[in-house]
Amino acid sequence: MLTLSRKPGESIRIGNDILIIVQEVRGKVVKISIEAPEDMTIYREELYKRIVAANLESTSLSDLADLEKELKDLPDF
Amino acid sequence: MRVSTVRFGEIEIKDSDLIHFPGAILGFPASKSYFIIEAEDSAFFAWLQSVQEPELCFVVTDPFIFKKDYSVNLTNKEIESLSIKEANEINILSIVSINSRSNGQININLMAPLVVNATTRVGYQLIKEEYTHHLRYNIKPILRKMAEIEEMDRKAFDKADVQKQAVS
Repeated sequence: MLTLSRKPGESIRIGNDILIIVQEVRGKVVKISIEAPEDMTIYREELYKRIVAANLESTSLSDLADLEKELKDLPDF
Repeated sequence: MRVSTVRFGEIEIKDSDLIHFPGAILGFPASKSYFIIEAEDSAFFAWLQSVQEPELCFVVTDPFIFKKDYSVNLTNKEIESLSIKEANEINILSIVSINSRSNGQININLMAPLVVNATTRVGYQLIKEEYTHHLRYNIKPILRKMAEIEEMDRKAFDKADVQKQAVS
């Protein structure tokens, strides 16, 4: 992994069209602005990880078999 | 086109059946197209099968059945990337999961719905932070209640039927 040191007001460019600007550092909080193409989605990592974990729960075949069983156990499903 | 799937074997589908997810479903970057397979024995659930990964299959449902006051507010940017022109083009699906650790809870994901433009058949999994606490919304109690009501209706119907026979 590449690690760079930057001061507020300085920035990092990734490829031609992604620009990451360090706006402000206050105590433990860093404010960052990102310029990226419209079709590029940007998430806070912890949020992204939670969604991925929930998505994963829906996909394993054994869990799906469990789901089918659960549904069958309900009357009339 | 023929698609191989782990769950359903080889399936013949039309290109027009495909739903494209340019941004993928989060965590599954290799799959960009899916198609719906109706579940035979359930009116509420359907399968969302990946074209690219035979083993990848989600269960999806209409979230509005289970949460009447659910709403997905689309930003202008989202409306633009989905190229939505009319409100009735919007189709919203929730991914269903079962949490084996929590006593067979059946959950739907209200925080990251699949929003699909029914005309272009392009969709995105969007993150709606106002539903952070409904990432796993348990629908089992609602399913039970629905099943009970149906059972009651059926019994009432049977009873009425018996009475009618008795009269005749």
